[in-house]
Amino acid sequence: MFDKSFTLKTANDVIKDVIIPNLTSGMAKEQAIALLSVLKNVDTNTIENTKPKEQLITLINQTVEEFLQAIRSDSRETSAFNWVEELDSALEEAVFIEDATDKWKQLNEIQCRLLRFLYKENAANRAIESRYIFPLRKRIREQLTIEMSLVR
Amino acid sequence: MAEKIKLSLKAYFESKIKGAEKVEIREYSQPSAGWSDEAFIFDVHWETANGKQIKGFAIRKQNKGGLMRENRNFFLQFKYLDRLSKNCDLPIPGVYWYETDESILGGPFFVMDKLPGNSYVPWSKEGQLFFKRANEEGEIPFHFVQYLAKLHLLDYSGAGFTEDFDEPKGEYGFIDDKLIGLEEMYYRYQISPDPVIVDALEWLKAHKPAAQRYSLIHNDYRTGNLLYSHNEITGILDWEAAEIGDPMADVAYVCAKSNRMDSPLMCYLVDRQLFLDTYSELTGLRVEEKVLHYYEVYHQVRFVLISQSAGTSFAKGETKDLRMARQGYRWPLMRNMVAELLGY
Repeated sequence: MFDKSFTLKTANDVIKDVIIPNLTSGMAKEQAIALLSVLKNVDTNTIENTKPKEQLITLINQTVEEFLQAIRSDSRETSAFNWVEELDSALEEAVFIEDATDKWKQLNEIQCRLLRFLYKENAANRAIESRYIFPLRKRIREQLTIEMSLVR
Repeated sequence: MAEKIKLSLKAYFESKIKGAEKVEIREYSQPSAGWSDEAFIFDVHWETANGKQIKGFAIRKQNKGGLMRENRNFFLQFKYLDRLSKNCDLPIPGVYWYETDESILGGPFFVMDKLPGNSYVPWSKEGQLFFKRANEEGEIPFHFVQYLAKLHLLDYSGAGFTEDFDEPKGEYGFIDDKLIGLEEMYYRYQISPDPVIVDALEWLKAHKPAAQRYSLIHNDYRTGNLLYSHNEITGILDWEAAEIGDPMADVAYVCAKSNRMDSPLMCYLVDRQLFLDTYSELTGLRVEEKVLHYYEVYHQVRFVLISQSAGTSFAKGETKDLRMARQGYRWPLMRNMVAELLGY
């Protein structure tokens, strides 16, 4: 979500500028001052946890690939879908992005474009909703569950 | 800090109340800082040739690092309250002065009446107990519906609101404008492209309800934004999002899960059917479940985007308020509520 060092530094600023001046207990003040140092050390001794993003990247990749494949082979419903190639190319380009956060964002964007295209198609063909939009929501739910597991 | 503010207020009221002498600010308090604005409550004591005077005032000050500041017109909030307080008998504060001189309190502010009563955080233990008892006694739930109905039935054109506020055009005018606004917010406060919100925005575009009428709407009408005293509602506060719009947006907001969580009562206060039946009876408006669901999705998307604005504001270093960071971290939980409403 936020850059680790930036977040810990801002939390330290708030402790220093807002919390400590308003503490009346000497003991609480000492603990808060110690906390400043502890947080700085936590920052120096830890690295950003990118594993969940990598897991999400794999999931989104699989999802988009599978949906594009299904749409491509579903000529009955989707013969006019020329945007499939467009998303295919975007997916190929995303492979070259190295930074996990940038890649996750780019793949999310592709997923969003897929959704927008599906809604557009659905305006003319109501079968699209149950055939693609509902199943896609199930896959997005899996991704959301991973993101939620990181919230405390 | 409080002493400095009290001194500024003293000088301000000396300049505003003609012939006032021996002005004193007493019973000063600052409720916990709001997400968008700050409030100060106090009594002003002064003397004139007619003797000693006392009056309670409240001040709402614009918080510069507050949420969604660029989307809100602070002066219009003042105008809305001004027109409303002069044209209805709802328990709302009358307003006195709008001040743009930022040297006084560090930002624009307006002065209004201090209303009697207490507010309760609905999900706190104290709040839940208060609203449960209020539900059993029945007076407050009835007034809660009645005041909303009164607001929605007010002749806003006759009260001059259309001189300052946009009146939606056509039965889809309101929701069309709102959806454009949500989409702009989505891009402005983007943390990452978000398939849940894109899905919701597309769904909202595809299922727009036609408004039966337009009304003055509060947009944040819930039990936590009201004051209570002696089994009565004594104040309706927090008008910052008020506008002319589809009254069903307010009705759905009262019924929204986010305003009751696990409570079976709407806003922890009122039985759903009783609320809807009474509202319908008082206003003559038809309440349809699918429209309520639509506006609940709409409000939840709005909450997610507000949450995003908090997160991006923190990430950009525009605020050091850690509540904004917490809100940013809670982003997936907020999106989950949208996903649940869409049946994920």
